[in-house]
Amino acid sequence: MSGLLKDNLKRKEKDNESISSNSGLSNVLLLNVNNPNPTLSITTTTITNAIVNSSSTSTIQRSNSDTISDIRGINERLMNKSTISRSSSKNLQSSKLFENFSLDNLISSDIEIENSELDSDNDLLKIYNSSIYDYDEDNMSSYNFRKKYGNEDLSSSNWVKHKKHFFILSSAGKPIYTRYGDESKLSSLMGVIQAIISYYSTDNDEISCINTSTHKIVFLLRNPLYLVCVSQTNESEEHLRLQLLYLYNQILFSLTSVQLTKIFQDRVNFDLRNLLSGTEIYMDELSRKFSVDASFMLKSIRCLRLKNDLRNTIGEIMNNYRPKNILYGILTYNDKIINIIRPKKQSVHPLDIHLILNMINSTSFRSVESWSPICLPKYNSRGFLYAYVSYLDNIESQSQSESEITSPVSPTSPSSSNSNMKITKTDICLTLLSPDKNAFYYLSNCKKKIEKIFNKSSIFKSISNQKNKTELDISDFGIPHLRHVLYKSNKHLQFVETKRLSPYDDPPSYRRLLRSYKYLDSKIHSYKKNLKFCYILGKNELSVLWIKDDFELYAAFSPFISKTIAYNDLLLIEKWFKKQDNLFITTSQVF
Amino acid sequence: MSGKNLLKAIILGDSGVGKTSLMNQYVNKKFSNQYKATIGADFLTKEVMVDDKLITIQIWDTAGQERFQSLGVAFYRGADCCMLVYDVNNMKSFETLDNWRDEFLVQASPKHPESFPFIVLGNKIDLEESKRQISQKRAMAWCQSKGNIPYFETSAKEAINVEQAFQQIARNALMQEADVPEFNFPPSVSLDAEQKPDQGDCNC
Ligand SMILES: Nc1nc2c(ncn2[C@@H]2O[C@H](COP(=O)(O)OP(=O)(O)O)[C@@H](O)[C@H]2O)c(=O)[nH]1
Ligand SMILES: [Mg+2]
Repeated sequence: MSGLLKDNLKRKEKDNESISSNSGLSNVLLLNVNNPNPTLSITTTTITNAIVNSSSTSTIQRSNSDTISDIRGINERLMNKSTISRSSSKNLQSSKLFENFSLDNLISSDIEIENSELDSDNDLLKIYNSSIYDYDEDNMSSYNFRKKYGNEDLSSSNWVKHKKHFFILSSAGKPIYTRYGDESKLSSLMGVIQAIISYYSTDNDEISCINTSTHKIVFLLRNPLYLVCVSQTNESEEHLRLQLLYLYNQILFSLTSVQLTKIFQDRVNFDLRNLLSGTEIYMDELSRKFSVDASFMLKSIRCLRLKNDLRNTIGEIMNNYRPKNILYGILTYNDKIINIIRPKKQSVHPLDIHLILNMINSTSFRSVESWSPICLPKYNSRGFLYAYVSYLDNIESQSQSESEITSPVSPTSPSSSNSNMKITKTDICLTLLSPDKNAFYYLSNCKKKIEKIFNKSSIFKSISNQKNKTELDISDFGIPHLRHVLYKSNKHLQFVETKRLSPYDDPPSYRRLLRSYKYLDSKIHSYKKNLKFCYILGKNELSVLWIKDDFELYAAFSPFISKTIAYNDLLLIEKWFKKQDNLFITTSQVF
Repeated sequence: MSGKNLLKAIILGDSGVGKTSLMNQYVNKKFSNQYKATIGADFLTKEVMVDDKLITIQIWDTAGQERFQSLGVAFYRGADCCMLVYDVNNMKSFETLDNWRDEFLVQASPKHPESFPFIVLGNKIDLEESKRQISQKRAMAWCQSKGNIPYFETSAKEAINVEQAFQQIARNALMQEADVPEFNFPPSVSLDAEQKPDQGDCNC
């Protein structure tokens, strides 16, 4: 092996001098999966070697998984996987290199590592091999999971092919939920899962993750429930566990922790599906959204871009006409938040908001006002609240008689007898959360008030006037080669992203982009040394993540631009964001 | 427009039989194949002309899952009529009609349970005949045995009999009202869930 390595190394040196002879070392590594060049492992060892200034190349084990993916990856592998001894001096040496890493180093470092050995163990190649797991999510409409995959089970070849499975079972091993197939047909699998978990728990230990060459199996144990994810998506363990947590919260959302505990205290072998029936759609939707909606990985709220004074006017109206005794009042536009009112002492938890949005968006048709008992696990996992949800009407008077605008027209009957009015449902939805289960009619009346004032103040018109500006547009930045930007404010726990234009206008490409963002996120956050910047170059794009105290900035560029340009552009993008005042809810409407 | 002719209707039946779809067809003349969830209760008002009278129907579509039963009481109470829906291609949804009817009577506790206006809809008749599990004859026999409940075979998808069914329910409820002795009930003291929406009556 070592002979082979050395041979290859020599060849590689000839091919590309810059790599082995560069003693200036890379603090930033660029991975290029573009041109097929079967020298992956050699490149890896070369770099590894260079970093530790070790002369003994041959002691480094060849491992296919040692593809250099990013800075942290190398460091990790140096410490863990290779046979280089973990003497403290060497570790020091290698970590020092990473310490002084900064954005500026990006420019000075000039190493590009090319590798692209097609190898099934290669994380990154999988991330960029877009065809690999897009098959399961594209040919289905968002609501058809149950029907489409309902009859699959362990023995059907399609079932195994799904790239990400979620299973929920009771600690007695009873199936509760599966993303694909019919959970009752999976009882043997659930039994195996339970057996694996109990094997470790007898030692007072808890299994958390199993890594195989192709799959990652992540566990979240929340007695009396076990949640398991089996994934081939190369998302990190942390991301997958977060997704399991969302699913767990979704169950609490329907049941509360008190009920859940009590049910299983009374009857360990209870079949929870009885109580959850009708809510599977929420879990299906969550499972799907994890791959196409950045809010979940960012744990922050997606905001509608709106002029600050308009947003504040809206918030003040909501606040002035709010019902007594509510927790939150939330105004949304599709999947984006316009404004939120809340008691001064209560904060808003993004994880709860995501569950509320999930409910609003998978709820019945828009003419209805709905009333649902829900639990917000972050706010209080022990009790129910009642959610009043209603889309608002735009009421236009068609004739000249504007004074008639206040005449009582039942908003839910578009075929109203009053011919002066033109009533149309807007995409704007009001959600009010009350602890009182009898408050429906009261809240419904308050909604009518708020709706009336909105109409009087032409709020809907003002919003629709801004319509083409309510989404960030890549052209706002005036930066060529820039394709996508996502900016999260750490202070507000809110984020905005640019409209999904080509090449991200189709779900597979956008999912791929999100995966690369997730990859950057997991690398940058798991790196202990306060890493600020990270990027990967793939055949489709150059994606970057830049983290500062007050923001996280994700961006995707054309893969053909140099990192110097990308770096300068990032500074411009940051400056641009600093100047905006219409992106986030900055003035909280409290009462 | 008078607020007087206000009817409260409840739609009950197993999840998936097409309650939401029927309402959507009735109110918006639309049908979608999307599977959507009602986890609490959906509320809808619609104005209809019944025999030259303008009636506002309030329709409550409750999820009916076990965990919402406590919520149910508040919504069933004061109902003027109740629509029971099953799926003609699903035996179980037919068999549970009994439970739905009983539960409604217990929770709503109407004055005259024997003559309370129910109506039964056998939905999804647009699907192929081979899938059908409950014959019209059998369904009608059941309705007969429960005091001659009117029966409709509907399709929310093809808009078959939907309009007619809702018309019928308004008519029945109105007849029911006429049966009531000619005095107005004094306002109830417990104003919990029965508070009817009243324009401009919001203390917020
Ligand atoms: N073919 C057919 N499908 C229907 C009909 N009514 C409802 N569905 C479908 O049955 C499923 C459940 O309908 P939904 O209205 O949500 O049922 P609910 O749970 O009783 O409210 C949906 O996929 C509908 O599209 C119908 O008349 N014909
Ligand atoms: Mg429904």
